[in-house]
Amino acid sequence: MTNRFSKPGNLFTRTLFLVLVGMLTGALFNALRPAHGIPWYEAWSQSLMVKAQQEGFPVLAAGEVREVAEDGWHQLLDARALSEYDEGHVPGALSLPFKEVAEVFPEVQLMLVPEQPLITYCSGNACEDALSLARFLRDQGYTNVAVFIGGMEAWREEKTP
Amino acid sequence: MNPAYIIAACRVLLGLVFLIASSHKILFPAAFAQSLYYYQILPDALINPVAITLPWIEAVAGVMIIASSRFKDSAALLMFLMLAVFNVAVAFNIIRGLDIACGCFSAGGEDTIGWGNVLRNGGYMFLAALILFEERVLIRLNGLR
Repeated sequence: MTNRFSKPGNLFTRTLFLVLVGMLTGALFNALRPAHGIPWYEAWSQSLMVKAQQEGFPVLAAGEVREVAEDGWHQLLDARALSEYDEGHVPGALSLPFKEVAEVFPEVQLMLVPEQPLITYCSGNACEDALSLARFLRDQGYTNVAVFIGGMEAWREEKTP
Repeated sequence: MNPAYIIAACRVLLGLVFLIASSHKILFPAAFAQSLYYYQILPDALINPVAITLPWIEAVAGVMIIASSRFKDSAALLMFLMLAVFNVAVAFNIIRGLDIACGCFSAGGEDTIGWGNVLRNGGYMFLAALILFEERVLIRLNGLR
């Protein structure tokens, strides 16, 4: 039984072989299931922006937020946990953690007028809480709600060019 | 008990762990891709390719570590390396305070990452190392008998 298949070969080569077999099987499997397969590329970082726009929420960039942040009319709402808000937030923003929105909103509500333009944000473009909060506010009857998709991440980058 | 049985048991256990872990991700690649995105480590261009191929690499390693005496050591090495990478990714996100789903045994879901995941993966890494260094481990164990 000494054919070339019974030789052990190099450990590294065999490991690489397993990786390649796995990758090829994955690629083949994905191609053969058109109903459930996924594309090889998706613009993940923009997916929230697309979702927000489809639902009719204006999407703001950091520069636009800077212009209106402290004008006394636009109200920024921080959808992250209170502990994160305490560590730093956009000036003028109120804390309204989406995870505790039912408990905190009655308090925040007292500081808002229905026609006031509201801007929600969370940690960055991978968190959904800003969009979820925007939906919640719309359901509460606020008609002028925008989402600052870049969130805290984009705000910090904007501050330190 | 023959120490070889211990190694055999480790192979079956690790193989099953990887097969179970990969099956859900293979069935739900879109949910797994979402989990990968929430980890915020990979660039956009790599998320879907990893979601398409990684579960199958896990599955191939899982089958080979059980079924192939020729590939069991390379499967063990591959598992060790994958677990090490997973642990770095999980630890990195725990430290920077990201509250995300593990995506370890299911494609998405409720199981948030924590140090328990890192510890468990460490245990699996130990088993993989036992299999990788099987001969030396067996000599050691036989010496103890």
